[in-house]
Amino acid sequence: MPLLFAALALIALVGAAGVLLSRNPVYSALSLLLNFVAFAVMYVMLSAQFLGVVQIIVYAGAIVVLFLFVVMLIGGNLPALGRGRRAYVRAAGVILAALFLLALLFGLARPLPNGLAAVGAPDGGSVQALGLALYVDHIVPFELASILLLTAMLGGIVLARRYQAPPKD
Amino acid sequence: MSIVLLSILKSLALIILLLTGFAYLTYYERKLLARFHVRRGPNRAGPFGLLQPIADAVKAIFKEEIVPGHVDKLIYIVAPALSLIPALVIFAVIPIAPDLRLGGFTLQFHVADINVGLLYLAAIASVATYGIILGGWSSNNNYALLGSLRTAAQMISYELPFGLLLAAIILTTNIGREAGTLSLIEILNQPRPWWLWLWLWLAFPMFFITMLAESNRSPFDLPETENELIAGFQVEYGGIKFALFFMAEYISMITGSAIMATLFFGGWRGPFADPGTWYGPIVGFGWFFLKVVALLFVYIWVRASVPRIRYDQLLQFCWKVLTPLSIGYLVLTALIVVFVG
Amino acid sequence: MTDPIAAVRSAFPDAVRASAVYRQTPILTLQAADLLAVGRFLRDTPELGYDLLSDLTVVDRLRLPQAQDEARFAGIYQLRSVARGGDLLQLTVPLPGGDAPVAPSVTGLWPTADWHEREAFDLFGVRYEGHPDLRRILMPDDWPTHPLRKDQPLGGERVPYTNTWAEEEFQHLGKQIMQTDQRPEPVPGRMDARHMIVNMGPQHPATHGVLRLIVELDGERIIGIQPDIGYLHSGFEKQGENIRYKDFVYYTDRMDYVSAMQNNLAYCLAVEKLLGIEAPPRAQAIRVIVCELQRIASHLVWLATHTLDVGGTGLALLMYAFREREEILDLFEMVCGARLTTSYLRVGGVSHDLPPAFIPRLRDLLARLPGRFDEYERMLSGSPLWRGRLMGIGKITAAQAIAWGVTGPLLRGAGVPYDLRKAQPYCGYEQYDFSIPVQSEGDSYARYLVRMAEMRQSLRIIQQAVDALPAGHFWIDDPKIAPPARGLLDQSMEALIHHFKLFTEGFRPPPGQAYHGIEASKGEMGVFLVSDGSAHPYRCRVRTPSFVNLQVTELMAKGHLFSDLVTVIGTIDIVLGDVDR
Repeated sequence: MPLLFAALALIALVGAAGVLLSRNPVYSALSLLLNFVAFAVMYVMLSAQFLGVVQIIVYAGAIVVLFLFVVMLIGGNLPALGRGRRAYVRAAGVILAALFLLALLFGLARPLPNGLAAVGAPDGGSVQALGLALYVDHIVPFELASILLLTAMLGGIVLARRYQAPPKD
Repeated sequence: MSIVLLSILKSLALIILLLTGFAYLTYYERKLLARFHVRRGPNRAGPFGLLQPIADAVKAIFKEEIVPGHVDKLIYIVAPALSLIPALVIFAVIPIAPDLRLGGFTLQFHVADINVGLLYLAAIASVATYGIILGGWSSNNNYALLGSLRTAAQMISYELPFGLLLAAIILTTNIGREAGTLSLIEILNQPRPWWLWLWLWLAFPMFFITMLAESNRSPFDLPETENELIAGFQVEYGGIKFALFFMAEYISMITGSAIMATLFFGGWRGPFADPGTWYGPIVGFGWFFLKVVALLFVYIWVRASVPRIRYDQLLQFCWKVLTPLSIGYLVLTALIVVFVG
Repeated sequence: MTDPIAAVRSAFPDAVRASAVYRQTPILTLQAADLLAVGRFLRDTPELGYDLLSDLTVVDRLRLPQAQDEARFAGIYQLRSVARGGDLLQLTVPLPGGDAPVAPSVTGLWPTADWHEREAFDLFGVRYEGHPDLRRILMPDDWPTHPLRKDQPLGGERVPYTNTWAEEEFQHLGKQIMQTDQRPEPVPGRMDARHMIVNMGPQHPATHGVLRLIVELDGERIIGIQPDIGYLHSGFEKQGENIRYKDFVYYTDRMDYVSAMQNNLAYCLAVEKLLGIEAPPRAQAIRVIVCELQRIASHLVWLATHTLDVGGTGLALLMYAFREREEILDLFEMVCGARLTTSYLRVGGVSHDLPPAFIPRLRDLLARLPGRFDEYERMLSGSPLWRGRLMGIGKITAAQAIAWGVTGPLLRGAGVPYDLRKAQPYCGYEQYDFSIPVQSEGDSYARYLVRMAEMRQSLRIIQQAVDALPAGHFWIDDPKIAPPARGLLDQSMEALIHHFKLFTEGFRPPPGQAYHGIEASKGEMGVFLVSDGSAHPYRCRVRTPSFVNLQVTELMAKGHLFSDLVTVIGTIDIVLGDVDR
């Protein structure tokens, strides 16, 4: 099992590196897909089958497909990508990456909060356990988050509509 | 370790079964279409043309492999496999016959009983798009690109009603018991009251339409539309690579029919398909096979009698008709479950 | 009815060089400088209303002894007035410029002149001033000559293709991995390279042959289309000018090869007009029967391919329509032994009388076809998918259709009840009771309805023609035009001489010119012949419906989706042999 886990982790890392290093945006998206799938398998190994499947449905099945869709619409070959960037963009990237690393280290250094202990329990990743956690224990934050997403969706529609000439005949 | 070995054996048997099924599905379709067309269909190779699929396979395998110079080679070669794998893998959770008990040994006729089986279907169906999208993109051809753009939009759209209808079916598993289930095997083992069957059959036409769209079958075969996009995403493919795309389409027809047979028509259940007996698995598989073949007939029937829909009409139909209908169906199902169950 | 010659003479006293009426067709000879003014007058004066330019062509009079003036080239314009029932007026315009003729372009008056003038430029080298896009249309771009000029010989010309196998373009052939470098084709003018340019054809399943369309797309929406034709150009007109009158009948089959009978008819009627003869009544009725059968067969091919285009290869209707067409072709085989390229009609009649078994079999078919048509309509008209694919697609208004010279079901689908069988009856069509199906929407669905209704009307005509089939000769009783019966050759010396003269010398129509148009299944099919008194036509011009109707592709498809382009091409109903000739 640890061997399998190590292999998966390696695949996930390769995928992540591929996202950053590929010049071709389609290859980046595919590397991202590899990364997601590796994670999904890890979830299943941790007996969080639901999480693993949802990972595939949402990220692999929808988000990366949309990425590809957009990349193809714009034109798959963008040679300008990664070239001719201004210095301040690079600087901002480095600073943001450092901040993110700090946040990550800070989070990992502290012990896990008690609320998430259920996840670590046996069968904690099952549908029943997740359902209880989401719809009973944390119903308010869950609904708040869904309202936030709905607002974002409506905002997106409004923004897209503004630039569209009325084609009604 | 024997469990792993058994799984591998089962998988191999399943793959062989599916590939044979694919080969004879092409024969079945050609014969049936020919009947619809007042033609005879393949009748030269072997008795009644029964060897035609084998001849076709031999031809596809021995064809010269051509890789056009303008394609993205890695993705171009990987894409056909990417489209075939999900079509094969999805079958793993579908029970094709009742259990066989010999002494203390039980043989189950499905590769894996995942407790989130229905979600597994949705997950695999959602990644089935990649083969087509990447095949079209890597071909570096305008027709192929248009085809794969259509696929991306079409499949993402139709996953919505597909998922909603699956959710409604999942809800019905709550009726009369403490907790529902996501496992196909358990769904099949639960007895359903007669009114629930009727209610589920109400959703069957909608579900069938989403399955047609998911497997890119006529009248929703817009990614390949031989009349406008010539062959769409597969225009630059030939030989065995083309055959892989072809296989993926037909095997996804088989899996689609198997899913519908399991969810709506009781899978292997039927008279004399008694679990635990020696003859149960044989009869059960027979019932399953008959149901799948009957559903495949509907696929082909639709192809022979309905003109192809246009791309924008397809999306409009999905978003303006099918999605609201399935949301309504989901809500009504939830009400039924709450008040009756 | 106003006399166009008198009207033009009074309005433009200086413009008219000569005028005549030859075989009921008024012919006006105008000066090139006055063409546009007179044309505008003819088009816009309400009581004249010559709004349809049926045909535009050029005659090279280098070797024509009857030429009245010095100009070598003369432009010929056949005008019709749709409102006044297709009244014909011919304008003859001697073109100044000697060997490099120049003419004013009439595209501003009749947009349909666009392709006609390009063709005249291509084949005669006439430079039309004011034409928006004067390029070669049928011949390759690098062709050195203008082949229809009389000083260009038939055959033996040096073929100016420059490609050899050593060229880079062919180096990928026979290699497994084709390392072609990406050399995008130059984007044609008027098109924006930032859009997606899709090259459709000449090898494409939906273009019905070797039509090439360069399509400019924004997403899937069509912004522009540039048709490229001429891949099937066979030089029929040049061929026709080098063989005897009767021998060209066999060529006409190969133009619109799904309606060979009608092509035969258009040509035979033009020659008969030139000769001043008329076929006997039985021949007329037989011609009507076979031509209407041909119309049904042609519409069935259209229906089959249109459903194939719109509905996909699996759709069963394709084979249903072909099943019925086979039965019609069986009938053709009975009368003349051929199914597709029938060559059944002859100048002055038809080649064989109907065999005895023909009529019962035809009656049997007539009884069965209406049920079959009902079946098609149940399958298509009732289908929301079919209606969704056709309704509102490829709209064309009546005014646009007339301006672009569009005829046939396209014009009737746009609400104009114009049918040459009614407007200018020939072959005794005035005896038969039938109606002209018209739909006002002008979209693909309207054209579908029109064609379906036309097939039923054709059945009515055939029924009446069979019921009242006159007895008598099936070929004109004139030994100078029709060969004597086989039995006579053994008995009569005179018959033998006539036979010999006819097949060695042919017949010689008197000098003159005649245009005759018929209502073929796709629109007006017209033949214009100039005779110099010899046994060969001096000028043989064929006006085909597909060529003219194809021009409106861009007009009809603009703004629609790429999928609709297939519907639009299908609904125009072209045959590439008819387009390129």
